Amino acid sequence: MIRREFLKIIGQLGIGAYGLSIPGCGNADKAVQQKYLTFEVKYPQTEWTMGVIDPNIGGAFKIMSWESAFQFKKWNRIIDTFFKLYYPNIKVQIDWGVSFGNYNTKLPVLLAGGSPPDLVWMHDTRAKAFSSIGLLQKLDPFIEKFNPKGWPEEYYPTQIESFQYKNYQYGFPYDYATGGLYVNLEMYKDIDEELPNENWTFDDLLRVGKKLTKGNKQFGLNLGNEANVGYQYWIIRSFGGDWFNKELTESKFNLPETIAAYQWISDLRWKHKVAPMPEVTQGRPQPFVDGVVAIDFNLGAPQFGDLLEDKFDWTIAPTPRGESGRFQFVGGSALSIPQKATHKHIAFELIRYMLSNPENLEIIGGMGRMFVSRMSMYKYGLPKGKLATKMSNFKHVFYDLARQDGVVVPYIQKYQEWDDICRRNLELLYFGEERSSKKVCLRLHDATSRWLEKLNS
Amino acid sequence: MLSRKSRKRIADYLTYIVLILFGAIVVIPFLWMILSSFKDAGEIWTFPPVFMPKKFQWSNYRDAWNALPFDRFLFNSIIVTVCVTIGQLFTCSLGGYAFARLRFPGRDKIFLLYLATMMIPFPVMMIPLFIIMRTLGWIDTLTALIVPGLFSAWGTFLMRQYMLGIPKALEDAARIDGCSYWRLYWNIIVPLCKPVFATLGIFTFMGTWNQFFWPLIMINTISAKTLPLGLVMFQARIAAETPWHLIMAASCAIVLPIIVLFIIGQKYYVKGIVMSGIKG
Repeated sequence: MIRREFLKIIGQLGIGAYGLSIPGCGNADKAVQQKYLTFEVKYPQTEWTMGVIDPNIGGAFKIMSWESAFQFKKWNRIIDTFFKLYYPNIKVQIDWGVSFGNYNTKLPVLLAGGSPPDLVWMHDTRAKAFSSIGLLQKLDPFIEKFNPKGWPEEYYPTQIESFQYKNYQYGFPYDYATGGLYVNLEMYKDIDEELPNENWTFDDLLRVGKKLTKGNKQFGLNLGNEANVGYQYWIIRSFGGDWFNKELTESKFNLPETIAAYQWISDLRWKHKVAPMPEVTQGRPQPFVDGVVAIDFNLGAPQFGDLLEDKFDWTIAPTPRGESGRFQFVGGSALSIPQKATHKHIAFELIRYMLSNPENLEIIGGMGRMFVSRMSMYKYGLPKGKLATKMSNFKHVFYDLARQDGVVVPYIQKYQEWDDICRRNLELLYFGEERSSKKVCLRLHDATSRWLEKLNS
Repeated sequence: MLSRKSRKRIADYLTYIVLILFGAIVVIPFLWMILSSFKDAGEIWTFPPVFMPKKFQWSNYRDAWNALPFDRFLFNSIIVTVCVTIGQLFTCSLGGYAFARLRFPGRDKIFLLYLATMMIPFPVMMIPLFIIMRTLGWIDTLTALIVPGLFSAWGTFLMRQYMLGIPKALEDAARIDGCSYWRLYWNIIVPLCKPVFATLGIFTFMGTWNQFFWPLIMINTISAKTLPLGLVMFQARIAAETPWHLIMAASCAIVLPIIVLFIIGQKYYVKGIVMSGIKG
């Protein structure tokens, strides 16, 4: 009897699970597969649709994003409206809430496995890697046929450039993240100095950093973020150095200026002792928030500001200039269409609707508290309320100066692979195993040259 | 000179101290998770870290549960885990029985070949398996999580090894009474294999309940997500934007069934570790 019941349960559960999955099985979209891009207008055009696709088309439209549950709300609102208005019979399937690391593992599997979404989130660090092996659709034919409002003159040139590969556009930028300095005013009031400004040099910053350092309890500067090699690129350029030549075919780690820049970064910690030691930063993701660092480099994400709101008095300031001029970290993300996506036209229409429609940009900027990619809409990304008072110069630091001095980090194709090589070598400097940046940079130069040769062969 | 009894007592105390220390290493992160689930967002980032929350935020549990359809995730996790566990017990015991008791040409070679599949790392199989699932139309379904999990070389090995230890005389007696192979398996072998069923059941249940990578690849829509996938939906790209207090609350809720199962099946779990030679 017991065994009979056992078998019955197996049967019921098996059938139950299969039954549950049946609706999901229908997700495999059998809708029109578009092999070639055509732009024949067959249906009524609207402000946001090309008239190429039947408004009554059915099937599933798949979107994949790394945004968290809270961040995705704004996108959901807009996507929902778009499909209700223009393609009411399409079922939208959104795979969101996949963390950034997992997203970058999952997306290549979906693309390689032949089950691509129709619209994907793309990070500037990965864009060239995906586009160089033909996994992303060139957006140029779409942009030409159905020009997004304000494109390209109203969009940040650095962000447009970040998503280009061999002069083709593979991503439509949606945000603009720039770097600046966060200053602990309670620590700062003890020294007789003005706040940093864009005309300060690296020497000025070091001088203040020394004054702000108090043994092992308080550190003046935290600029070299070892967790992200790209966050230091602006310093290298300010010193006149670089990583690669313009064509991305040669290493420039042997340049005296590159070596000098890395020496300056290393000396902050090991010679001048103004930067927090590894034992202070490890296991402490936000040393500035914890009140151990007086001046910290970070992105202009107002969420970061929320954490500090009531802890101590603080403000923001611009990064300094070097002998070669002033360079500011800029970065961001974009929306892309996979090469084998089913609904490419609709995907582009949706991108255009989300990222060039002022009404939607207000939602995206306001709910995400970020600068959207259309420059004139910067106001939606400005902090509000108490934070606006604390960061009264937010626009100047993170917008005006970034537009003027923003520098694109050369995220070469297969950047992640090179990033590993770079990090392995630079860690010798960061963790004090080697104090001479010349030795490390020359070693890195050799490794990078070999890697580039292999890449370009 | 200490007496033998005293020396033994000191040795016992030292053993207990070492065990308590090791126990603390295991328990503290867990305790940390529970206490963090009651902290507010700001307290999570406090440095030096604060162990006890200033004020217990019971609302974290409600907020976490309401922020995402955790009831759906829980339901999906239960379905997948129960089906995989029962299915694997069934297929592995049948396989184990065949490899342990039946005689057929190439039996041991097939068994070795089956065992060899354990040496293929999952990332190598991932894309071919994905393509199979796509061809079958199972992407984004629970079927894709259940079916590949129904078979296990390790489970078959475990069953076979256990079944080899069952006296053959019992089977012979049943055969004389006219039992078929199926009846032998069902009436003689299965009842005698309860301990190994419990062991494999617990291991499979825990493994499937916590499975993350394969569901991550296969599942795209929120309605088909399992609990571990639901949990990472809170995670934002910028660490500071992630509501860690809610993640901790949801983690506590998720881990509860595993703890209950562990308490119930502790004996078999330990037995399984001994039997299979798996150590933490």
